[in-house]
Amino acid sequence: MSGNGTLLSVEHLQKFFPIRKGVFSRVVGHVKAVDDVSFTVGKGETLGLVGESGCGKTTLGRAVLRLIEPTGGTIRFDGKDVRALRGGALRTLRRRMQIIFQDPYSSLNPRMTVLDIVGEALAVHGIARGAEREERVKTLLEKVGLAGRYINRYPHEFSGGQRQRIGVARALALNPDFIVCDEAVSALDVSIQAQVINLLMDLREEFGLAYLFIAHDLSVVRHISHRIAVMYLGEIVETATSDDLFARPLHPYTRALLSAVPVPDPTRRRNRIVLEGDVPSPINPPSGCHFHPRCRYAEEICKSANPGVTDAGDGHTFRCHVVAREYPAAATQAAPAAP
Amino acid sequence: MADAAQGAERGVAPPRTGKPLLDIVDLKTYFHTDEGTVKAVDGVSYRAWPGETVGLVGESGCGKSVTALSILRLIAMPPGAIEGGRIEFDGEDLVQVPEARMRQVRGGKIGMIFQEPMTSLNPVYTVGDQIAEAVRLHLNLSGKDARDRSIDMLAKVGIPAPERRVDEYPHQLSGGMRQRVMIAMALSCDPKLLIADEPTTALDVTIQAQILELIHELQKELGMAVLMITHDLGVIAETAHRVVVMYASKIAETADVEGLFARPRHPYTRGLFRSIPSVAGRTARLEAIEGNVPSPLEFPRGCKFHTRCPFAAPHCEAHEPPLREVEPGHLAACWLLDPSGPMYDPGKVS
Repeated sequence: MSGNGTLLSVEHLQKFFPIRKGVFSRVVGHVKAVDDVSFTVGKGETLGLVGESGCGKTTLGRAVLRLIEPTGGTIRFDGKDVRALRGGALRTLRRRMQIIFQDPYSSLNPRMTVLDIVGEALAVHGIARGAEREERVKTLLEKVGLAGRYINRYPHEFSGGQRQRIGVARALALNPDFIVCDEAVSALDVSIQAQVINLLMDLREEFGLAYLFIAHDLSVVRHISHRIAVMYLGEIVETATSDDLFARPLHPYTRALLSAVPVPDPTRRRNRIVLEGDVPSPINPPSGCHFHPRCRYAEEICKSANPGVTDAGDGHTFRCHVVAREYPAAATQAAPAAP
Repeated sequence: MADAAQGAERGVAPPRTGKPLLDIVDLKTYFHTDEGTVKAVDGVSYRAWPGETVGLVGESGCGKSVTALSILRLIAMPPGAIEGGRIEFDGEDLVQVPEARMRQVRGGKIGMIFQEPMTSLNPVYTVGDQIAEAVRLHLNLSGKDARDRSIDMLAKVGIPAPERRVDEYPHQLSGGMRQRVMIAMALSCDPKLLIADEPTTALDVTIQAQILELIHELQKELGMAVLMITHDLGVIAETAHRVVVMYASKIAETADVEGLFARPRHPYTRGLFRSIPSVAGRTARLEAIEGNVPSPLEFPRGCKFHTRCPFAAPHCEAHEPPLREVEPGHLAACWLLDPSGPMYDPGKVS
């Protein structure tokens, strides 16, 4: 972990989306998108968050910023209880917490110029206006590798990669401490992606930025993250430092995930663990360990009891009944009882 | 299915002898826009044999997708036009055949999958209707038979409960499932060539592994050629037999996959390899290629890579390098690699 002190601390965070049916919109169930997730992000630290579509990583990123309202749990940002804040206090805090979205096509308003997209927050928060705002937007654009003269153009005039850079510039506009990068570089070209990764790492260095780096590209996540959390079906199943996670993945899901990454080496042959099926529906997640229907090590106990968190040393934690037996000395924190 | 299956191994390359299935010769696809002529594809040639996977790799705007769309004649004309070259496919030149014939080829002998399974599927028809439409058109099957064929195809691409899924709408399916539906549709008429344009870019790695595995299995079974268009060198390494690297509407380098990855020669290809983070180990900083991918409206003169190339010299700005064979079957377009040019110095890029 780099930096000193905890910037963001999330405990037992839950986000359930109600499912409504019928003329009276009766609640008939819940999508448990994020279910009892706890993690911390230190100042200047990058926590990578990986997992498959529908595992809740995007919801988690947004719930942390309260872009969607969490159902339960606590979020502390620099000591402040984020969930207790309202109105102006929340808006002030939001200056320090930004997000770069996944889809550069839908996250930019097509009717706004780049100046207004990147500079909107500067105006809203009363930080810069007129010529000064224009100057700052130009500087921001140049920081992300776009020409300053583009400020009067519209999003459709840019390629997908360039649009994502506009999104990065927008997130940087208010000099935040913490940025949720939701698949922020996934849409970029390889040579440009490297530039943006370098840029994000430079900015981290320069301003002591902390990132929650949500991505599916594991090599990118490994490169940029100090620690990585692996998410599956609303839960974090394993957390470790980047190098440790790749050196000794413990959870069967993490192992499968790492083995699935295509490696740019045509001579390499290896045993790939190809997982069957998709992530099951979070509406009716499997009983016990959520991963058991796709797990090749699944036993009877996995079907009935949700495994607790086992600490394998060096802050490397995981949730698996079977692997936990290899760590008899480690204390396993019991999972919360099923509701 | 085996849990610890071998990954999407590309298997042994089929022999490149006899007549190629696809032979693209000096293809030029231009777009005449108000702002000027965009030479999206400018003199590109490559070939594919049955059972072979040709990987087309490059960055946005390099023309890799337009090459594929040209094969299918799916570019908007106007403003687009195929200005020159031939696309010999299975005995006919697709540049010349009438539109009516082209409609038979599209979705018939040539199947296609696109990057965005959501936007490529019609949201107001069930997936079954959409597969059946292709089957009715190309295989002349009637309602019931077309529906059965749709269910068979959905089962073939690994969709659970296909007899139920066939009546569902695209929004009811996950991204991976939609891409499977796209593949089912593309393969429903037994194509000889499958064009896969970034088929797994929108998907997660475990799903990507499934989809690449699936394409590979179906290729083995059906013997089709695959044109795999991607920006992901990992996907190329695992699927392609032959690789074409494109930069700014031209081929920068082409070779068999082992040769290209073991000894990339073009400065652009070499830069690309250095910009990817490795899962095998961490480096402090990536060696990104300087500058931006040039806009097709403002392509540089001479060698189009010279604005970003560490070896660029005045000769590169003025003259476009020819594609030269640097090793048997390995071609690159760089003045440093052209023995008959004034800058020949292959040591700089090996």
